[in-house]
Amino acid sequence: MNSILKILLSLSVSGSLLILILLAAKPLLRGRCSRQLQHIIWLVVIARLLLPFAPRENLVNTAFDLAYQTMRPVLAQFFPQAGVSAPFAFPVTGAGQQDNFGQIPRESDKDTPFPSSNATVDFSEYHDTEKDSLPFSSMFLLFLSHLWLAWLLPAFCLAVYKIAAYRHFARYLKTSGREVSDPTLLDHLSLLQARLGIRRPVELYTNHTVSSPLLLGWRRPCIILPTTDLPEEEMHYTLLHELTHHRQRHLPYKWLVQFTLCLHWFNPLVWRMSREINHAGELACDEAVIRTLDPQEQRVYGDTLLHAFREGTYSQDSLGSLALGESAALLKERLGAIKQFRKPSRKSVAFSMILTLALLAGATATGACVETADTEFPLLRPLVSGVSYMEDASPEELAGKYVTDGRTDGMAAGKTYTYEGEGFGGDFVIQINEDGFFSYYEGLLSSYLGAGTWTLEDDILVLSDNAEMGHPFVNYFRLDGKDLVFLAENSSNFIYVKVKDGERFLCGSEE
Amino acid sequence: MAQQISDSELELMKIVWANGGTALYAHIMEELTRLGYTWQKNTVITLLSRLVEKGLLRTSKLGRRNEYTAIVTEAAYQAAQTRTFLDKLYAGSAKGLVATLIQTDLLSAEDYAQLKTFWEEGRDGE
Repeated sequence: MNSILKILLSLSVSGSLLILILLAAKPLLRGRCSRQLQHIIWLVVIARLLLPFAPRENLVNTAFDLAYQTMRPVLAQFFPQAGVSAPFAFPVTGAGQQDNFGQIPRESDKDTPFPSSNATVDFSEYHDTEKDSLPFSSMFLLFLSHLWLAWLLPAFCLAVYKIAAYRHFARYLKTSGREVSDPTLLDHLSLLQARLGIRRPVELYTNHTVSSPLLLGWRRPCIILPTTDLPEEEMHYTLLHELTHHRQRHLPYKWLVQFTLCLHWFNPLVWRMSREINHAGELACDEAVIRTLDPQEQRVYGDTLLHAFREGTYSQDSLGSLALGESAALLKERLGAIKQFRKPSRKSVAFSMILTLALLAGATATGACVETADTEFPLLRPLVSGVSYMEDASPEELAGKYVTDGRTDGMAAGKTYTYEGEGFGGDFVIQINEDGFFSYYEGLLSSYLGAGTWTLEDDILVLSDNAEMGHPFVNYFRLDGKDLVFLAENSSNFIYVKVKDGERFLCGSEE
Repeated sequence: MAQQISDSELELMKIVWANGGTALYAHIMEELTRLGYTWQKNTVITLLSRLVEKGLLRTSKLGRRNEYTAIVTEAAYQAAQTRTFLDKLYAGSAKGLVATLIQTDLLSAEDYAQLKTFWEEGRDGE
């Protein structure tokens, strides 16, 4: 689940970049592209915030990787338990065979017909035995692994709240309001609908508790007026304005923004964007209305806005409904826009297209954390799957297993030893890896594959099978020249093949 | 009982009642035109759906066309409305209403005689 959180965070970062860009570009855009575009262009940002798709090479991915690389040594200091540092220690050995932290390294390559054993051990086993000097840090790690809950809970509550509040609001409006039954008014509305091409009938209510006209509902749209006692012209423009909101699908857009807000509740820039989109929506609606009016009518339209504002008291943000005006500042901007309205020139259309393309390109480039197995939060791996440990190993011993101690280089590491015995129809092959792991298979036909860790003490090679596999064998060999000689005395031996004392395992290919 | 309906809605109900309690949308539009109303299509649709919501009409599809059936008969509606009216203005007593009707000459002498007979017959029958 944390990978989801990680993706979300990266999306939030990219989105924030885009939001900042758009906000900074606002003064540039003002004269040059339509208000409608300024409203719709935010869809690119929303898409970036919601869709976890990006090319592999992108800004945020690089940024996140960079952050992780710098964080890692710092974290290793605070969490010096081998369980956490072990993944960090892998690169130290330089064996370079492992890609995934916390797993037994795969076979390097080539011809070993040897599948690796991807045994993963429950890490809690290790914790019990460790002399735990930092219980706090393990709790912190536990918290981190459930960080996604800390995100999900507020997101969920916010969503529930918004939906419940909206439904309550809608129900309240409908019950405390009255239907407009005057056929003249209803006809007026009907004619406007026909003119705008809106097929589904829109209901009309009055509700004196509402501060300004608003549009409610998407599938069963309803216009709610504070009063029907308006001069006919003002009624005309009021209805026209609300119907235009409906036609331009501002309500579904608004709900999309709310959804984004719930997911990105932690990002203040997203809240800022929401407000910006609302304002842009009003301006876009004005523009669409004005486009069809001559200057005289435009003035009357502005008057309507002014009067509506004067009559009402305004709340900040109405959930799911669109008020005719939200604040004086916005009103001023809107009136200004009406005064300055010009039909779009070809230059501005070209500019708009360029802007949109640029933003789309930016959205793709900033990208997101592309999820691969490699980049999954490695910090949390130890809590889920650990490196294979022996049950009674101490941190120092284990560290020793992963960091080369010098004695083993070239002696046994990287070699294959073969015992041609009366096995289960074939050779018994042991593969010793440089990074402290070995694996073997007993006979070509055998299905038993073993693996574990090895140490070399002087010339005694100790192979300790991975306990998880179910057979905690410990077997001793003596290095004799290039070959291994089996020491049966303290050894557990193997499952199918019983190796006799003194049997030679011949050195095969060198890695 | 049903909520209050507006005058325009009542007009529509009357058309449906006059048509035997059920009417096609097309018929309703025709009748409205005939009666001199110039209501728009959407207006009528809105009013009809309000009536459906209030429980006075039921809508069904006849092929592609909409048909509206009255759930409440005209008589039942009148009775309910009268009761509400009486309760509101005359504390539920019809006597006061009749007195007003007579005093304001809303009730002619013949009407009164007929009403009296009707009333007394009913009481004897009990």
